Amino acid sequence: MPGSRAPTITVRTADANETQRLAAALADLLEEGDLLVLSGDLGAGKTCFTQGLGRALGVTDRITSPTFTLANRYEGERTLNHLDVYRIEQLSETLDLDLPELLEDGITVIEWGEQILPVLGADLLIVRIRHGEDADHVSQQTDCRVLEFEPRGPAWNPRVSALRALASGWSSC
Amino acid sequence: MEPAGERIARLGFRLVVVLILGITSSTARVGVAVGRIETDSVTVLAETTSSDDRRHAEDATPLMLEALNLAGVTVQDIGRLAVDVGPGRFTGLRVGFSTVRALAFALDLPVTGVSSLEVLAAEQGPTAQVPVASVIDARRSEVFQQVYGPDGPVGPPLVGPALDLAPTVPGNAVALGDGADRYLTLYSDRVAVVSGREPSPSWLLRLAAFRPALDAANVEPLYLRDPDVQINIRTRHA
Repeated sequence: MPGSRAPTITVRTADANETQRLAAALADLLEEGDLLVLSGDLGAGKTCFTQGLGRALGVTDRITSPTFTLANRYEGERTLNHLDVYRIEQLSETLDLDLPELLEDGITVIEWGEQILPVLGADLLIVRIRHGEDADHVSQQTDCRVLEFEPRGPAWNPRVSALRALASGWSSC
Repeated sequence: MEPAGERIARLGFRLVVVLILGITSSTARVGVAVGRIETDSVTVLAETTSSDDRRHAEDATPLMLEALNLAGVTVQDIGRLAVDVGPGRFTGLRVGFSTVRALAFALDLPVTGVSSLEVLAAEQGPTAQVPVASVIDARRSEVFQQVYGPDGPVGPPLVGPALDLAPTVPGNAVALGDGADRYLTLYSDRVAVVSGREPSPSWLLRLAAFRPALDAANVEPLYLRDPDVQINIRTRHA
């Protein structure tokens, strides 16, 4: 659907702990039926982010990457659906996940979800995670992460400014 | 195997009748009906429906056994099958299809598929003055929708946001189905809404009875949103 796309909102976190605290803070903005699409290389911290989010949603079970099971559901104070579609090679395979039904309940996080955007509908928040560089660009060996939020669709329009507010006040590493 | 119709006739029926069993599963409510097809009519012998929840897989077989029991027949007496092909809930449709296909393969029975939207419309009985908009919840603010007049569908089945599709319903129509119920204000602002309607297994039988029955392998669910694009795997690593 055409329309003006909200600009992306960038946050830097110093380490995994801070990434999880950011995810937890984001949880306060989330509503039933929300969909988060996580993208980033292997090891970027997608599952780490989801664990922080899950804790904030009251999930006590250990959250692990569902790369081989495709989808896990966690019941906390709120429900968290955690999907990983890395192994999906054709959009038609997403039919088996029954996404429209799954997305009805709770908050859904889809790792590698950008590759199935055509079946995800208009309303979603893309979270891109990548390694940050040291200030002097000398080393990639840092825990620093750059998170880029891209809110899309009418469900996120009213929350863009809240998202911006959330994004300020984190480490700049 | 002796065809069920002949078997029933041999058992003493004066007319050659065929018993038909149909399953609806495109919404939260699963339904099974058993009926008797005669020369030009269908008599529904029994109908069972589940409560409106999400236990399709658990519900389908007990509902079927209950319907057979209420009708006073056994599954071996059934001569034809009918299935609601959707559009609707993917998981529900899969359960309906797997149940019907299992019966079809095991008992060598032919199957007639009918659209869930058409089943909804048929129960209401569209007329020229009052066309029927069948609306099934497609989740995430979307619906499956098709408008029926006295001579059949007025347009193709559509899938899209209720916000976009509700305004396309003709002003003299009535809207019905779980999609019209869920997005009630969008529809009732424009047309009359008959609430609480789900695809009825009895109406599935009435529609299916006089249509061609196919080999089960040739009856396919109607998903409407079939994604068929091949993902380029390299995009993952870009």
